[in-house]
Amino acid sequence: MADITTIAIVTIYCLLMIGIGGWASKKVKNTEDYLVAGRSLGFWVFVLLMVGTVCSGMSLLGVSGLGFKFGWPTIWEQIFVPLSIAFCIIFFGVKLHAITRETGYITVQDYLAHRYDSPMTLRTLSAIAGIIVSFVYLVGQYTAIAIVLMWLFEIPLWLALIIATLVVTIYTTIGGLYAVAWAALIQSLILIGGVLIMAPIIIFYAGGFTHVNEFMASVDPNLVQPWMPGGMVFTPSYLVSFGILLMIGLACAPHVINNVLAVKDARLFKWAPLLGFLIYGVVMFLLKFAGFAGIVLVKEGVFTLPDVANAQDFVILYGIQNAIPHIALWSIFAVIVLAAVMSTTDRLMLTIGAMFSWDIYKKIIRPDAPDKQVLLISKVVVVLSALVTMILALNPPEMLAFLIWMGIGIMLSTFAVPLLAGLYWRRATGTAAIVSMALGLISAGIFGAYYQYIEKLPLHFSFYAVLVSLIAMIIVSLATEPVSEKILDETKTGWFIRCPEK
Amino acid sequence: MIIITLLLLFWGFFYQN
Repeated sequence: MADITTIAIVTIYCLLMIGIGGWASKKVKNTEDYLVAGRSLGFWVFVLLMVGTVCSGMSLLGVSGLGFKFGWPTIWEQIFVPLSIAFCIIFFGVKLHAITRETGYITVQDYLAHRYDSPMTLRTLSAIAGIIVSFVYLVGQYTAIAIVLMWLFEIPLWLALIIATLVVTIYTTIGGLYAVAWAALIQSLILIGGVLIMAPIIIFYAGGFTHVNEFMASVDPNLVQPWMPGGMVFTPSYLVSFGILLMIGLACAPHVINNVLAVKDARLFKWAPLLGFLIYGVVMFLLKFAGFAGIVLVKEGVFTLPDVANAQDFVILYGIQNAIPHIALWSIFAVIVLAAVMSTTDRLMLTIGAMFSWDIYKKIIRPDAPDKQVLLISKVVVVLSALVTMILALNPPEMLAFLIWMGIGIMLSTFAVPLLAGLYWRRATGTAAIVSMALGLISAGIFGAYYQYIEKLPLHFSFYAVLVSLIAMIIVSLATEPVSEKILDETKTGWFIRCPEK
Repeated sequence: MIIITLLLLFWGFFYQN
């Protein structure tokens, strides 16, 4: 059982988060405050909110796990995942924020409904797809947190889940995006500081960076190549499709893209892409190198990984356990993982709350609903989403890793084409957006299942689904009547990022 | 990594409503 220092450190962190929630709850007066933080986010809060949202608990364990298993060919995820932050800000954020200043969108569904002149069908389809992928992602997050808490405290799964869920649900429910954004500031700083300290210790413990690489080359030359030869998993063509999936898929994920609506001032988009990319890029490189160090430590018999299917996800935990001989320091790592998981789950829960209360209840079921009622429903849905997720995570589906990849793949094939075509192509029509979104969703399911159960495809499955979605968008758009010029001008549609001066 | 950093620096300097 954990000692008193460990319990104290984790408790202090949890109380700090609930304290932020209490402070934020005083600032929440209406739905706009709750869902977009009154559009008040400044530079560092926004940048670290984006880092915290994209960096999840699974990425913390999974990045080093993948490095441990496949070596250097997997470093491409380090380039493309942080790049999704920059992609989201530049290709979606700048224009969406400029339109929102005039229209006051609360969710991205507001934009899609406006731009495609489809107040019911497209909004409903988009919100339902968004809620489904957010749930899949959420269950994966809670499983990551359970792995770490069970390892640290040697407590049963249900207790670990209840602790984690309770804390994140309290501050998210009472404080909305105010709490989520300011908690992300603290959580991202904990994450960055923690990884900067922990990863070098593990690498040093394994004999230093040069030794680790020489050792990897002697184990298997493929471990130190930038990609693998034909016939292996990470071939160059697969890596490109995988990289694009990660970059664009994460950029248009509902819990990531909605952050741009909460920004206070467009001037912050000047340096936010660079800072978001660099901060998260450095964190991911260090985690990956810690995974490489794990290859040395396991081969030299310093520790053996548990005999489970996802054994590589434990490599960073065991690395810390061996490289740092004091239990109180492990609890700091537990707080790092808690911070990474919470900064993603809180945003996901709030996104589900927003899509349900705003897009489905307020905009479709009861347009005359008073603001207080919408706010209350948001809060109820946040709590319900936490409960449902916790029940699902108690008996995690066997195909969890597959489901998480499926979630990102579905995000990409459902949202990328309607969003990009909507923002930049004046000829894209509402009917085409509905067909493109529906076909993207369905074909992602088909190609994903085919890839998983029948045979491996040469490119990542989502690549084919996006292609279907894109072809549908072009053909149906050209066959249907365009949206009115008035709407296209209101939504600043055209081949530009910065809006031309009027 | 370096190429992307340069591109994003470029974006920052030329980012102008």
